[in-house]
Amino acid sequence: MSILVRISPLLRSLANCQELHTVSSGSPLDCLLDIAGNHPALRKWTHDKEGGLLRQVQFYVNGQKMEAEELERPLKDGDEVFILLGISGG
Amino acid sequence: MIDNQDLTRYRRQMMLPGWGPEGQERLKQARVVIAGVGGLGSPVGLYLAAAGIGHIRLLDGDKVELSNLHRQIVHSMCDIDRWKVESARDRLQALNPEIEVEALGSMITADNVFDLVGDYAIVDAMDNLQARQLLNRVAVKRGLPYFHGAVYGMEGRITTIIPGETPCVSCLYTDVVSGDLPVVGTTPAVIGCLQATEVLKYFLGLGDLLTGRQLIYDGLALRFHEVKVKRDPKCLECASKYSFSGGPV
Ligand SMILES: [Zn+2]
Repeated sequence: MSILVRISPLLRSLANCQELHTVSSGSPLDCLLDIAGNHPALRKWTHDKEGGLLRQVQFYVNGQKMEAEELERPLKDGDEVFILLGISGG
Repeated sequence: MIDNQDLTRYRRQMMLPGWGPEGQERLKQARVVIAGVGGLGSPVGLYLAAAGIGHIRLLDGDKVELSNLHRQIVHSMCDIDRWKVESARDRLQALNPEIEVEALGSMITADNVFDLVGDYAIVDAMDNLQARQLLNRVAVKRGLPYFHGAVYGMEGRITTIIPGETPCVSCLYTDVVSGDLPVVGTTPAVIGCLQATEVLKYFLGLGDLLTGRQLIYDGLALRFHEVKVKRDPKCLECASKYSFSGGPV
């Protein structure tokens, strides 16, 4: 089983990680934690000090926005996850 | 009415099927407020003025600074310390004296936002979520089209909001990243040009608007991604105002 995870351009600039990652199983939230395990700088932008997910983090699975209650739902083989931060610059 | 000078000035764009003198007349009658005259507002203002949007209202409460000029290309060195709306108004009127450009140098607040916007189509070229939410409230209450763009670094987002049909700003964002974050000048240029494209299409009735979809610009990989966005049934701004079948509640 293989899940492709894409990290947004801003997030990968801030955390100095690459765009694409492959994760073997889990939920959208698990995917983020898996990648953050290898790229600790990610967590600063995605989690608070107590380990809670920041509300600025957005997840899309196969191009569909995931709501908070969907983030722990197991993904399927071939799913594509896109992890971004809400942005507001102009 | 379109005159001879308009026929010359706008000839190449009027050649596009579905545009013509009738479309140009619609642009001449159009009213657009550009909220924020910075990185996004610069290209939006320049291209909408150039295309002949007849009534442009500029909103911004800041003055031009040297650190703005790498991305806010409507302003120049000689504009430093001037109000952005006045600097931008002069540039847009120099480009196209045939249109009307208003410069409103107020900060957007909950008390003034309804008066500032009136019934104009809204281009969201702001730099913070709070002001976007105020503008969004006016769009939702008055049913005005709202052209959303946002940028940081080499990433941009754009979507077109039609209240009642599409998610609103509050459906899209629960929070945003904050801090002194990078912005590359070409990023708001890309997104601002796309916002201006959507405004023109909206008034001309051309093509398909970016509604219910969000385009994500990745300048690092040089790719665009399209994702679906949907209305939040718990949205505090739009859920009670519009039914989920489309019309007003
Ligand atoms: Zn909403």
